[in-house]
Formats: sequence, structure tokens, C-alpha cells
Amino acid sequence: MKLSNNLLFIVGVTLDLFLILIISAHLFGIFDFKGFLTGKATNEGHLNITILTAININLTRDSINWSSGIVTPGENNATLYTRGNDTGVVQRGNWTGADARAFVIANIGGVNCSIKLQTGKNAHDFFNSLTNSNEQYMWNVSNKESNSCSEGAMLGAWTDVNKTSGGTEFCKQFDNHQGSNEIYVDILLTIPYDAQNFGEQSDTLTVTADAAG
Amino acid sequence: MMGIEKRVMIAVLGIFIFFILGCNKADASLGLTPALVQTDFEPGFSFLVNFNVVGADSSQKLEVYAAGDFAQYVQFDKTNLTGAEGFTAYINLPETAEKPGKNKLFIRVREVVEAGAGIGTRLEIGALVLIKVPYPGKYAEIKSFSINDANEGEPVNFNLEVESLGAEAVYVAPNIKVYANGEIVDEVNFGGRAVNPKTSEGFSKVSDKTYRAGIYNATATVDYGKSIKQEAIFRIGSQFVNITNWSSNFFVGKISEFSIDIESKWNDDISNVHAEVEVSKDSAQVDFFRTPSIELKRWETASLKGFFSSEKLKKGVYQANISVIYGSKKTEKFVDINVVNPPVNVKLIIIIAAVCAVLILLVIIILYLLLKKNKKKKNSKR
Repeated sequence: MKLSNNLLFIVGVTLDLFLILIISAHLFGIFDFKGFLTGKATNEGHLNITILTAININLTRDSINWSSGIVTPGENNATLYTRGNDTGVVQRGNWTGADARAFVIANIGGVNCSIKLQTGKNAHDFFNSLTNSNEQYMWNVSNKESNSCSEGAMLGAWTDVNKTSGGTEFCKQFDNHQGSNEIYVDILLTIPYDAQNFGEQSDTLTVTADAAG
Repeated sequence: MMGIEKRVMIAVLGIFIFFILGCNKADASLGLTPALVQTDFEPGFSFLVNFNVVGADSSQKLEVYAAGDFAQYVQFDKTNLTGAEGFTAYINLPETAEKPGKNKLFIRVREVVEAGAGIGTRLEIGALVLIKVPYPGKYAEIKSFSINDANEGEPVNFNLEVESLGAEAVYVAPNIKVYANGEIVDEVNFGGRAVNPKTSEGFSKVSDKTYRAGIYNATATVDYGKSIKQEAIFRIGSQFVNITNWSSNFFVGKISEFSIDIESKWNDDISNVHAEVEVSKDSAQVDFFRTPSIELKRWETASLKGFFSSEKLKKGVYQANISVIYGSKKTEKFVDINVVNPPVNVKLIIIIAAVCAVLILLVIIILYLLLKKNKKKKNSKR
């Protein structure tokens, strides 16, 4: 009887340890790499080196919300823009910038990467101004943490968005080390008084991150 | 005229124009592993790589595609994924490659995003498959070049690695020239050796020259029909600690921190480094203090801190003899330090003045009210 109690105790403890091991493995993402394999499809040639690491990008803020609004009557346009972590600015209109803040891109992977941005529309696609004027759709990429982004297009300047295939490369080397791995993407919209596109307007900003070689 | 009327009309109508520039979810994440795969180009070579998506939301729909060099030679077992799924890329290289050097093939995964209101985002992640295509004929690069720091009289090791990236083997006999103040002070020659395509060869040599303390520049030259060069810097140390900076301004009537910046010129750690400071005026000692000891790592800069008492000193220039002591050695510096009157606290003076002004104003008001009261009394008595 005593022997069976001891046996039950040992089996119980072993199962508990096994359970803890499984939970820990899930918590620490050990199974994320399950099934990873590189190899030859034929018997010819050879595969030299494989570097086992991950590229991983996080958008800690991935939407800009201005709610609804109108251009102030008598004005040619209204300008809305984000400014990093601060609330957005609205000029000559009654949108609200309280929830409008810059997109934040973080490199949380194990390698440096490049960052390219591309929109689906330009300013005219977005607003379709009757006079083809007073409309702007711009972006401004800047370091949220210093030295995060290097060797790319000019940082810290408002420029027209790019909807052509491939987009604009803002970082050739987007650092992956904590403390230097976050950038802002601010957005500026100038809404013309004679916009022909009414109601809900939308666009998609594509963020492409490729592992840097 | 008509145009202006039309513009006013449209501006008024503009009241009813609205844009909802809001959007979807709060945050997003997307990752891919492995991030980097590297291989040499072989004509007709086929290989596969299993990729795993990480960090994606379990319901996130994803697309897989290839871009960049050799993209047209990639096939996938599946191109539509949901959440953190895995997939396989089959890469069937062609018989010939157009571009020599490092060819970049990207295996990308992108979010499938449904159009919604506002400005939304779509993440796209690319793993890099680096395919090294041999250059035609002979081509080599210096993969690494390093020289160790040392102390006077110690050996200096020169290490060089040459990589052959061409289709043909190269024969190299590297040479290193060492410079000090623009003059050649040493030359190291390695024996000639063949480096086969897609391989690298290491060259190492210990110099038999005894270097004096200082900083040296070295240039490695590898000639394989074409000459390639790379530079490196190394230091030769002597057991010396340099005094680079010190505190020089102190206030009358105070005990102040006295900081001494030092720099090791030795290629080994130095323990028990401390300073003694003697302050004097007209050859008469007015203060003496010692700093706590520290351990100074090789080539490290650090600060020694002690306390200088100018409590009983008058304003003026004093002479300080700073001695930094380490083992049996000592570095001395004789410098002037200034003892000055503490700066006037302008802020405090303004506050006191303001309080005084308010008090004077109160006194004036009280006096005025008392005089007025007395005048009233006198008038009522009459």
C-alpha cells in the first residue's frame, strides 16, 4: 500500500514537471520553430550556410483616426497632420486630432532589415479635387529612438507619398537592438474645399521589411 | 466673377463634405523565420527551405510570393496562409546566372487586408536568400584583417583571411606594411598560396620586430593580378597612466569634489590606482587629500574623485600637485586651481526683494487706512 502511494506520488510529480515543461515551451515560443528545415531537393550541389534567426516587425500603432469632419466654410482647404506621440493637428477644419498619432514601426526580430513604404493612392486619388489643387497626401519618417534607421531616403521631412510599385526605401539598415529599433511614420492630409470624393475615404500604407544582407 | 460665385457656392456646400479617416485594429505584428539563408550558386542546383510565419494573428490571412534575383525560379507548396503557418519554398536555380556576386532573393509574406475606412496598414516581411554567383575568371576579397594590441616587447599577431569569389582559383602572396607617423616601420610578408573558388584561406604571422609604445596603422595588400587593400589600426602600450583633465574652479568656504580624469596606456589591467593631491600657496601647504583606489582596465579612461576643502581659504590662485600612483609608478602634474567667491543667487535676491516690496506695500496700505479712519473720526467729532 505504502509502495503504491510512493509510486503514485512519483508519477504525479513527473506528470507535473512534464506539464510545466510543455507550458514553458509554449510561453517561450520554442514551438514557433517547429518544422524548420532547409535542404536539397536533388542530390546535386550543396547548401552552404543557413542562419537560424527571425525577421519580425511590429506596428505598435497601426491606424490613424481623425473621426469625421468638414472644411471650414470659406476656406480653400483643411490640413490634418500627426506629430509623433503628440495628438494630431487640425487646421481650418473640425476633425478631431485627439486619437490621431503617428504610426510606430518596431524591429523586434533578430536581424537588421530595410524598410520601404508604399501607399495605394496619391493625394488626387484620395480627394479628387475639382480644380486639382489644394490637396496633399504626405508622409514624414523619423527616428522614434535615435539611430534606429540609417542609409535610406531623407528622414524628418514631409514628402509626397509614393504609390508606385516598390515604394520608397527609408531605411537600408533598421536596427533590431532595444533602444534603437523604433521609427515614426507621420501622415499629413490637406483636404480641398472642392473634393469630389465624399464620405468615408480609405487607403492602405504597405510597410515592407526585408532582412538586410 | 462667375468663378468666384461658383467657388463660394462650393465652399458653402463644403460644410456637408466629411471624411472619416479612422481605422481598423490597434496593432499588428508579422515575422518570418529563418530570416537569412545563404548558398553558393551551382548551375541547375535545386534546394528547398521551410519557412515559418511568426507573430501573426491566428485569423490573419497571408499571401506568399518571391521577389528579387531568381524569383522566377521559386515555387511554393502553398501561397495562401492563415496565422502562424509554415510553408516550403522550392528553389530551382537555372543553368546560368546573369549577375555575378551576391544575388538577393526575397521570400515575402504579406497581410491580406480588406479595404476599410481610413488609413490602414499592411505588413510585408521578406526573408533573404543570398545566392553567391561566382565572378567570371579570378576574383578575391579580403574577408578579414586584424592585429592585436600589445605592450612594448610583446609579440604582435597579424591575421588576414582572403576569400576567392571567382570561377577560377587565385594565387596570392599577401603583404602588410606598418606605418607610424606616415613612415614605414615594419613589413610582413606571407608565403604564396592558392585559394580555390568558393573557399577562403587564412594567413597568420607573429612579427619579430619589437615595437615601441604608440599607435600604428597597417595596410594589407593582396595581389592576384588585381591589387586589393584593407587597413587596420593597433596600439602598443607602455605602463603609463596619463592625467587628461582635472577640476580647476572651487568656491570660498566650501568642501568641493575634486575630479581627476585619467587614461591607461597599458594593454593590461592596472590595479590599485589612486591619486594624492597637495594644494599649496606660496610654497605653504593648505590642503592634502587622497582619492579611493580603482582598477583601471586596459586602455580605459576613468575619473578619480576626492574632496578639496577651501573652507578657510581666501579667493586666489593656488598650486596643486596631482600625483596618480599605480604600483611602483607615479604620474605627476603641477597645475593652477582657482578659489573664487560663490556666485550671487539672483533668484534668491529677486524673491527677497519681492517679499520686501509686498511688505512695504502692506505697511503703506495699513497706514493709509489708519489715516483715513482717523480723519473720519475727526470729522465726525466736529
